[in-house]
Amino acid sequence: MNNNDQMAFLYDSTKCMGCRGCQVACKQWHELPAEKTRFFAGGADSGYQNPIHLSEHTYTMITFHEVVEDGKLMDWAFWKTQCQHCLEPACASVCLVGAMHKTENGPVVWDSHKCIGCRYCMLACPFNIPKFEWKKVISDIRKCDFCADRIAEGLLPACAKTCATGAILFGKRGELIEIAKERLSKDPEKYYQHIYGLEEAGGTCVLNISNVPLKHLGYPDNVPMEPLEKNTQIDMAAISPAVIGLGAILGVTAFVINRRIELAKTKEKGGQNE
Amino acid sequence: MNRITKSLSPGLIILYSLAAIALILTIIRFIVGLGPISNLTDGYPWGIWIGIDIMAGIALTAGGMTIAAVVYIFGGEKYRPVLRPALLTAFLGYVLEIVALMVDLGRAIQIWHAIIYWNNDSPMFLVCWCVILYATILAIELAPVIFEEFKMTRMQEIYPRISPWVSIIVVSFFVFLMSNILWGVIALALFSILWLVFRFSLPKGTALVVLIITGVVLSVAHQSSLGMVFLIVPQKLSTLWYSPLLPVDFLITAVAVGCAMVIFESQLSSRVFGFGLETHVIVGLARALIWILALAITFKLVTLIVYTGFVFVATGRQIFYYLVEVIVGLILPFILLLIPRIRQSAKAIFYPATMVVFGVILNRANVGWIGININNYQHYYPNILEILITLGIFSFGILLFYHVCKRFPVFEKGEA
Repeated sequence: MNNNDQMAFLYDSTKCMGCRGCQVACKQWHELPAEKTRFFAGGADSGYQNPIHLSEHTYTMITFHEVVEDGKLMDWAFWKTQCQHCLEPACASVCLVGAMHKTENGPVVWDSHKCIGCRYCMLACPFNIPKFEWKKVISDIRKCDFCADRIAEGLLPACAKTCATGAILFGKRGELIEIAKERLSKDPEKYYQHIYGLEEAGGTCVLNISNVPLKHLGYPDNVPMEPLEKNTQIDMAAISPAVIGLGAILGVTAFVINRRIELAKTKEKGGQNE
Repeated sequence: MNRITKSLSPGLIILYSLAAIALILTIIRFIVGLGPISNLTDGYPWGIWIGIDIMAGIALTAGGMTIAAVVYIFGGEKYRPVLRPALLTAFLGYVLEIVALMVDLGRAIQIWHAIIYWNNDSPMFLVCWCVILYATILAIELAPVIFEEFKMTRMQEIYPRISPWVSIIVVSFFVFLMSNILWGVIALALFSILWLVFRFSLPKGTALVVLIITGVVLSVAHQSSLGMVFLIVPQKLSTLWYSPLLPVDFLITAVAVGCAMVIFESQLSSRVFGFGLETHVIVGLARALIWILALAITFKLVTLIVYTGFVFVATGRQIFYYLVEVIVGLILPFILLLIPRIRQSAKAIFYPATMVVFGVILNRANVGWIGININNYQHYYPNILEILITLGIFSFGILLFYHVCKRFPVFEKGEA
């Protein structure tokens, strides 16, 4: 399926009022339990939201950040953190049993029946999204699943459905990119001119626009602009030729050296016989 | 003999206690889960068990591959006495890796899924199949020890005829898994030709060359694949360690630590079992080690310059550990080995060898967790329980090695 035909989100932080209705709706739909939280536990660096991080019980969350410039408080801004549903997800490429996988219409989902719990997906994800059930004996990976079950029934994802201000739009990726571009060009004063998710990690199905650079709001500022899988692909493709090449080299070496030793031995014997 | 066992018992008691503690902690881990017993978090999902038990543990087994190649492929007949101990270390290392994995995996009960569900895009898939297949090859390489001990003459007879075919099938299957049926067939053809050539041109003693080549190839793949695992995190692993050539770096340091480990072990086991190794074997290994260290140091320096231009993404702590790793683990032992008085004394060589072992263990810890930076998460450091489990697993390995050596003819000369 064409990238732009995949289902996607557009999150516009300028429209978000931080009500966290999406957070609650997500918990309701996925029947996730509440978490014990503490005010200001994250501090200015991690944000003032509660809980501080996503977890096995929290798939999406609005982060709260003060935007400070030249020592002055400029803004109080939000970002919706969740799985970005990459077009070429690193987590899926590294999953040795193929439990984590990209579905055709967009969502990146996982199959706990296959998972062995190696947590490579957690390491590989550039957004640090997959979480782990640390307190269970047989643990599962957990993350936002794009409400794949709701989408399949033609419903909106829970967070988008509940959003009161229209900050979360749901639709085809191509159409959402057009909307984002239009907003950015119509109101260049208001928006920071970057669509996050257009190219990050090779493109994601969650697009983000905002009035401030998202690095102030918790979006990782070191995400490469191409699919991370590219870094491992070359080496993985080299394995078979390398094994055969090395086998051939070692074989020839072994033959030459052992043959030479053999000849030396027979010569020695011949010498003794004479 | 009595004197030896007596003088050793405190050491054995410590090893048994450490292994017992680890066993109890492992049972607790399977009652309370990974969270309460370890410092692992959602930000740092991998810690000491991956860094030390698995990555360093596998590097330490590289002696098996190195010595096997030297003896069977490069004609280094004088190193045969260290071949079996090195192969045994390697095999036990692989057994321990699986033990360590069972502790670390979130769904250890489904570990066998790795065999039936295939995703050959994943470096972890490569790692996994290298473990399975190389452990099989190591078991075949060591099987004659058991045949000898139990005088299984029939098995001894058919062994040289069957084992090459098994290895040909193993390596072709491996190549097929990693790419497609075409490459698999090419591998099958190549290794079959090699076997036929050896069979009709070389004496019987070298009938095992195909088996050894298969082992070396799988081991090379495995050592570098552990570096490949970290190629997916260019933005998380500090550039002190990250480079596209990380797999090659892992391979070179594995060969270095393989040599160092054989020296280290032979010194210890000569103390424990009283089988002294001839000095010229140790000295020869040390000479090889000098060259490998020179290569490792050059490689590290060149990749660092080429890929970073000396602009690092690293914290102070990471720079400290990097320097310790490179200076104590590579440069100092290299300088020490250049001094003739040290290089020619089997006893003195023990110290630089130990430093290399330390350095490579630290390197794997550095890549495994120390060098990883995750935004907004507190940096991971292992807690005492995790360290105890690691110590226990290594103790278990040493105990296994000790008892196998006491029971089986590991330290005797013979066809391995």
